Amino acid sequence: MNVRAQISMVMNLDKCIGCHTCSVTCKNVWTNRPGAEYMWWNNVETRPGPGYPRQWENQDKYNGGWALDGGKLKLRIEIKKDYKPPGLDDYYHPWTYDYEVLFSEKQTDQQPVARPISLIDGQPMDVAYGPNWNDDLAGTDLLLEDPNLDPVQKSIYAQFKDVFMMYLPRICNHCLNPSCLAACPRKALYKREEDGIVLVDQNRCRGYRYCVAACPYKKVYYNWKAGKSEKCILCYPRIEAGQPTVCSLTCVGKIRYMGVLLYDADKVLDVAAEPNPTRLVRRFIDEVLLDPFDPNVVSAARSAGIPDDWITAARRSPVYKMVKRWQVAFPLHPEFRTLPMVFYVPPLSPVVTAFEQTYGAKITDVFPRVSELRIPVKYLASMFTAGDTALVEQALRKLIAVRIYERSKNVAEPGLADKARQALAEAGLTEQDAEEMYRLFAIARYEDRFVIPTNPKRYANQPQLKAGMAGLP
Amino acid sequence: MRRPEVLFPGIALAVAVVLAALGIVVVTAQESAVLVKFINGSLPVDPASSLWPKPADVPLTGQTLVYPLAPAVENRAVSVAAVYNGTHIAFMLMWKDATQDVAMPGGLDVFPDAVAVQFPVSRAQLPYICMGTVDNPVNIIYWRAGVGVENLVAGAGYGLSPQQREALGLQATPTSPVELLPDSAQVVQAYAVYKDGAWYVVLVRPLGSVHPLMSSLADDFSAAFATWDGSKGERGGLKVTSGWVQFRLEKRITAAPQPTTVTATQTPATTVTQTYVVETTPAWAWAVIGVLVALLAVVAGLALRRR
Amino acid sequence: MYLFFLVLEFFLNRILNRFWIFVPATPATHTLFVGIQWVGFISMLALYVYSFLLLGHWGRRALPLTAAALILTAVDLASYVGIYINLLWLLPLFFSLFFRDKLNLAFGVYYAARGAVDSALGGPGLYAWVFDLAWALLPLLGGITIRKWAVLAAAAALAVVAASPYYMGMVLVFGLGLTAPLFFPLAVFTALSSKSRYSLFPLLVGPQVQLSVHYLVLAVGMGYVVRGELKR
Repeated sequence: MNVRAQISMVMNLDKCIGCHTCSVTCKNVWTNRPGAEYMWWNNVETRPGPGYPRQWENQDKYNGGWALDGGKLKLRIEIKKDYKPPGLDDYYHPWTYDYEVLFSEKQTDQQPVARPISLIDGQPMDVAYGPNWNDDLAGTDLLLEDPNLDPVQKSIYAQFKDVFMMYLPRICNHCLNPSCLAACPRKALYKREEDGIVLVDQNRCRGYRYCVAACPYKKVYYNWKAGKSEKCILCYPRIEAGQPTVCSLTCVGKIRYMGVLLYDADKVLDVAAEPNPTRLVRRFIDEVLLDPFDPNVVSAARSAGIPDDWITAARRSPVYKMVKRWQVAFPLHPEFRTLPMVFYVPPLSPVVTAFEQTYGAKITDVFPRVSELRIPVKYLASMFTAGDTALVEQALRKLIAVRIYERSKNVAEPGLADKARQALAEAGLTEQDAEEMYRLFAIARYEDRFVIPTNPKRYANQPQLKAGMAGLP
Repeated sequence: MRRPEVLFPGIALAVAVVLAALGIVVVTAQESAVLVKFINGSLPVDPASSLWPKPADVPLTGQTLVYPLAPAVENRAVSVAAVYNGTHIAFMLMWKDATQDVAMPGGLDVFPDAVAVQFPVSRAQLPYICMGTVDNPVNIIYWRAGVGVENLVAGAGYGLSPQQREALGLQATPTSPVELLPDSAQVVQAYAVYKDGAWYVVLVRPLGSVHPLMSSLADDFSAAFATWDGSKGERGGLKVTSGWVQFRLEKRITAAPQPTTVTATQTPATTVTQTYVVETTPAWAWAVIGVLVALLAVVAGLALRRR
Repeated sequence: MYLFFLVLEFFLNRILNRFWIFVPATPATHTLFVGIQWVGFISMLALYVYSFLLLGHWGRRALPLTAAALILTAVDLASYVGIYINLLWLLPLFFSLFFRDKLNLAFGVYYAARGAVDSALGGPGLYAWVFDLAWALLPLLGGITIRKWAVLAAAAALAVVAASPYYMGMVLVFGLGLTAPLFFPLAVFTALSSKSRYSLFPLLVGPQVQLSVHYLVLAVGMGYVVRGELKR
């Protein structure tokens, strides 16, 4: 057992309001530079929709991630020998507006209009597409590009009354088996040992963009000005100081949780090569991710050099609770076989109170049953559990049970207490679990959301610093 | 008298051992060399200039050694012509490329067409053709359409201590096996034209060396070539390369090179490669000795008939 | 013995020492490499001396051949004093006119053509494979008999080339001037199956002559094969 620690993140999609504050903060801190205008290291996608870049989940189009070639794990770009990265049209042409004209125009009968100006060449342009062009249910054809929608759902969508919508914020997943890292022939990408953050060495990178082609989430971006590739750095200067990432900190809906996850590095390749994708998800959560309360794991972690306060942080980690203990959070598209370390709590869909005549007899209660939820479970399963609807359903059931339980504490309704007890029993939760979930999801205090350890002692005993050499070889 | 079948090999072997011990080479290499014409005056930078000698075709093949592997590589070639004057040397490289791919703003999936010329840094032994090794580095001129030209060294970085690297003007800790030479050594100019489905690139650099890791071309030298076709997504290791091609200067420079080459003003670094200088008889003597040995052998063979 | 020196030179001076860059460098492998370089070098020089010994041994009747060899070698060696005239490629053709044999003549013509193309055009360029194929197939002109060990040797060569086309391609192009590595097993088969013993010489020299002594060997080899007896 080779135990390593990683700072991971969970996003509770039940709370995401799609305000894009996370994207704007990240843009203003990290990608507000020439060559990086089109990049959104953090982006929010309105789903169903094509995503950013367009149809990124369609690996027949983009060749990202890993696949089994005769039982062996191989990069898809290597199997198909197609190393082409996406072009600007697949992302979008970034633009700004000629705001100056609003101030400098002479007085006329018409209002001055600020024209869109391309950020690539500074010329006026016509805006035809953006990174989330299908927001607010705009443009059915774009919606139908979503690879997760199966034909049945597409026809449902066409009947507008059952339309559904959710938001999917994405960052680099800092995977355990990163295909970007494997794809670089210069070994310019590396995964930090202490916290698992995957970075692009800007000195080594020559802009070959094999990593851009190989990432199935398309979260490495090519800076056309610098001639090098860049990606989300998980705000590592802040992480090293015990602070959350800027996207997490500024999240209006408080949907992001950060904490330590201990994992078994020996199991990574074995699980990534698991032929059955739904088994892969369960093995990832059960075998690769470790229980920090298990004394075997703790002793193995100590012998691997993980400091004690990291082990304590792993025990208090909200990510551990959501992913391993309650099993309500899942990785994004695990079938790409990269073992991503950013997890998502699936959304419950809007809780509809008006029923009967409006929706036929579909909704039978204030709280919906999992089978009645607006967002099809199959859609969520296609995104988070490689199609395993049972796994998603048990998570949704738990979320509903917590809501019923909390309602029963506050509302004097006949039969509600029994309903709550029944719901908790069906979901497999105790009252203490429900209370804890409520605190973490609903109250979501800063100290509970972000449990990020630092350890000055870990970085103190470095012989090269003692010898007076600057920089690490 | 012993039969010639036994005697002759013995004589041949004995003489060969003596010649080898004395370092006398009576054999010449037969590979065809590209002649570098001498021009009095400034070198042409226009590919269409009549001053260029007839170009030589250098075949290029895809590298099939390491990932990433190209799906299929057809036969490609680059034509090379070279001229030099007292101070500079110019290469005119022409290769066919159906599409013109130039690095451009917003060109996220655009890979520029490129060409590179590789020279050995040390004259002792030809380095490994695939961009040299730690003990035997190569000096590469790398041109990319829309980006410009760079003077690089490949292989040297990891064999040197940080102090040696700083003395050479490189960053103290190596970041990559292929590195840009310091700014003082970025003395290459490139002039490129794309016409009728072919690139014409003229590379001009000083004849001598301005940095210990830059090759001197003031005597006969070897060079290797590589091209990249951007439309095929070729970058980095996805390329076609040639073997070592001999270049011969038209006139032997008898005196020390007239070029007033700017030598590095830093304290000379410790030698990069441990070249073993073998004290041999001068080359012209080999011609004389070779003919003499041949004559003597003929006479000996004649004498040993019918005994 | 003459052929043995050529075999030694082929393996040590042109194959193994080219191959050695792929071998990890340790003090042991380095010593071995130095040994290979020295023995290969000595066998190359021994071939030079041996060729002229044989020429002398053939006596006065071989005077035109000896004179041609001496003159062309002297002219070729003049490159060490800056006079670059390369006419050694005429030597095998000249010799083949004296040793009337179809195969000798064919190879004489081949090497003359190759030498002319290399001198005048700087190389066959994209048509190198045509020359390589011609070189590989020429022994058929002298007639072949199917021999088991020829087939085995060719199969072994094919296995080695197929195992690593890139490594072997590198070695063969530097050692033999052969740009299409898969032609090597073919050449092994035709040369070893050939009825004429001479075909071994072009096989070991390769489609493109790397050193001047090889032209000598190709030429003198024609006579060596018939044990020095001239056929007019």
